[in-house]
Amino acid sequence: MSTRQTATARMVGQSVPFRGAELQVTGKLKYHTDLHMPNMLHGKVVRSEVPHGRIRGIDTGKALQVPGVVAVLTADDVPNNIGGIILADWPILAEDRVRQVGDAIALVAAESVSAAQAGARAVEVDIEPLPVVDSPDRALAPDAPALHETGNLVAEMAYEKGDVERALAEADVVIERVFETPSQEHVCLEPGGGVGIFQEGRFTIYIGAQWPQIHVNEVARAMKVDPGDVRVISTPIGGAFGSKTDGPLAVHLALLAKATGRPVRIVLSREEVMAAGAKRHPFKVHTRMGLAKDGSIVALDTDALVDTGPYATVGMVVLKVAGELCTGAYRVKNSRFRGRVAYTNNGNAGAFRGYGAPQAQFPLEVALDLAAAELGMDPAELRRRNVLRVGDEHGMYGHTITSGLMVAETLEAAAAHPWWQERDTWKADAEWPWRRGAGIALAIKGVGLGSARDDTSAARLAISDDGTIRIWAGPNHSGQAIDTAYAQIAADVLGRPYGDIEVIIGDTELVPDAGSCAASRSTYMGGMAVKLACEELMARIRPLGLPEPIDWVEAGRRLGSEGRALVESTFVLPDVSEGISREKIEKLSPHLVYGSAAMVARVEVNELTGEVAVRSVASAVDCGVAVNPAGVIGQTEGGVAQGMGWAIMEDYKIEGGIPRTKSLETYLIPTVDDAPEMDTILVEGGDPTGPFGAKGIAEVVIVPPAPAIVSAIRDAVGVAVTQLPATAERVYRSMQDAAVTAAS
Amino acid sequence: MRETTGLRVNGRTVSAADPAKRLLDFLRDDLDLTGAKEGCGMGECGACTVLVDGEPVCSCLVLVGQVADAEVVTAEGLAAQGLHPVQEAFVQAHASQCGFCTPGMIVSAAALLARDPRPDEEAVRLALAGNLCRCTGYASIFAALQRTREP
Repeated sequence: MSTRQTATARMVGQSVPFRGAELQVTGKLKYHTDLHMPNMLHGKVVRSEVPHGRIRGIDTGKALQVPGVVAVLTADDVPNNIGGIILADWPILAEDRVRQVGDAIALVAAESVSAAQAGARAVEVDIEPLPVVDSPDRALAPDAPALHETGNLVAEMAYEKGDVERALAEADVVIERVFETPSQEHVCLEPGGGVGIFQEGRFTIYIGAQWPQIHVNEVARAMKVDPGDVRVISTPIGGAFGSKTDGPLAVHLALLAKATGRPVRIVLSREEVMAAGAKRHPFKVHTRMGLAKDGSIVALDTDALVDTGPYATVGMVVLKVAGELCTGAYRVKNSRFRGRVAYTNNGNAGAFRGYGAPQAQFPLEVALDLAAAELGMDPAELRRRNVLRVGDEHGMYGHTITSGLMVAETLEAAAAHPWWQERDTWKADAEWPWRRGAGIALAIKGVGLGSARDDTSAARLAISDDGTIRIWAGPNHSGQAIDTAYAQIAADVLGRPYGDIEVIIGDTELVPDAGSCAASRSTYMGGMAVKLACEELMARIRPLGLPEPIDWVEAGRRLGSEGRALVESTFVLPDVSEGISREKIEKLSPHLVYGSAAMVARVEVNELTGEVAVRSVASAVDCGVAVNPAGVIGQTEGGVAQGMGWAIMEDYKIEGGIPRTKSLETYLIPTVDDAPEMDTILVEGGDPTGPFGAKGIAEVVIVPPAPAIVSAIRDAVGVAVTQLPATAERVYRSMQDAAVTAAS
Repeated sequence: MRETTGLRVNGRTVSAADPAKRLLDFLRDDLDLTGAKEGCGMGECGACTVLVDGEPVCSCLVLVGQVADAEVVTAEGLAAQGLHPVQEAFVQAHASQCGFCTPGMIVSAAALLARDPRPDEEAVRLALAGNLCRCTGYASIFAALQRTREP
């Protein structure tokens, strides 16, 4: 390691290769699936096969006689049988009732995977089926069976700015539609799982975790132990997208480890993940949009009904995000939001990249597109006339838009792209039976949990006697190369070579709780904590009066001898303060900082079959300053593909509470052969509150693909799809219906 | 089932006691070669791809006894003499994010390059269509393959 060298290049803004990439490409990176502990047992979860039922009895006798089975646990074995990160409504193991296919009923530990599977099959569960609540509409009907004592309405919110009904009555154009956006499975290539260890009264849980501390809290609560007796070590995460935040898995590992006194591993099968794992919240949204002749949006009324499945998980927060974002990237004079979240016996919905933002902005963007057609206005021009600019009031809550938001610039960059500018020429070259169309859409998404949520990140930094810099920081990451970004930020603050900075993430015993790798917050929040720690170190070094360039060995030695070599920092998400009352801030948690993105999609639609092929997607992204541009581009391209999957391919079918698409053979996600050509532009900007101007964009990029694609489909074949996914069947039917309507 | 006396993995002769074991489990559990990952266990995701006599196959669908005389190469094996060009290209092109699909993807890409050193886009789409990636949107993977063609 060099000790007398200053960094020659500014690291922030460089696309340095991701740390750990060599371990990934050579297969040497150890995920939870790759851990082997001495004397390790294998766990298997016994799950419900019915969507709703009363448990009359569980017989574990035969399972215990299966050779190799060491332990079989049921609800009686759970010290405090409760989980759920906001509402405590999710039993660790079902007691008297199951509420979805895949609900965990019992746990088996055995000497081998096959013995654990045999043991799980031998557990006899007697379940009396109960009527199935298979939609939120049905859940909220007066005679619906209540899934919890509190009833089926999990959360409700209502808000109005101005006078929406009056503005709608006076509008020149009104667009009214009901939109349905579907469930979506995360399809992390790494299935969930982990290893639990119980030793000398303490739990150690290895698990791929977006927020390791949340598992500490869940294990401590369910096992009735002090959180200090639980250590969670996050293994590298093989994909998360929201799916690796909550759920009872960590407690299952703790239960089996304690019962057997041996390390226990659980690796979920793909089928278990598909049936029992969290999904994106399905939304049904009734939208009414009023516009004046000049294109200004004078009224927007949004009524959302949300299916959270049998457990609340984060449903009420997803609703809150949808409420904030139903006006999207626009000024709206009069706006109203009503939202309800209901329990059903469909699979549990949870966090999924975007967290209500795609569900809220898809209806908005499609309605705008229809309005543009009705007004005879270019869809980019209509957006230009309404898009939020610095100093504007937020369309829903009225707080002031800051200089950090460059959404108008993303719109201009996307609209200037050749794939938009030259769309007519491209469309004219279509070859039958394919017809061509282009669409444009934009979106914003808040960074961090929102105002008045005490959203905090933390970092710890140490300089050792030999000058080494180690930084323990979070959040953890799941492929965003956050450790790379933190090292880049630290290198620039300290003026040290990038390679000299060691970054450690993911272990609750070492790393201070920095919150979740979620809400587009890791670069922004964690990066700020790292920056503050580095600045504090420099503030301690400066008074030492060392000559430039700094001798880091000497600096480390001097600070060490003074007991000042360890720095800790915290960063709290700034609240909005202007244009909104304190009371509203606390109730609604609006954001001060938003990432934004605008996209152009070009599609071909087969007029004989309705098949949609997305040929190209151009993205303009407002991430403030890109710490690692390749990382931002990678997030964008991944978001485009995942958003495209949600838009046209991913069709999670659940009928009467029974999941029908439980494998990657029936639930299709984009392959390399489906991938469109992509071009990503990073719009120049900078958020005054972020590290070197950076902010998060990992979620916002999943929002515009669906409305841009649906707009392009309409441009190609003249039908507006209001229910996703826009499968061939659905597009074909819409075309047939339109033809019938036109003929009659 | 034949005895596995002729099985070679990454250039080394190995013996497998149980010919009915899945090749994936044998590689991971017996040889501690964790490059082949289990993403679905049904041959749908490609995360477990290895080379069998130069051909990419899903090792979750193959029993050890079926490869008794074969030469098996994993992502680890490709890096026996330093990073394989496709591995180096993936690192430089930021073509791995979470990395779970990456070793399988790289094995498929290496097989493609072995038979077609300058594949066009269509060839890449065909060769990698069995390897799912949920993070990258595939654009950086195209770029990595493009990079291997540069002098």
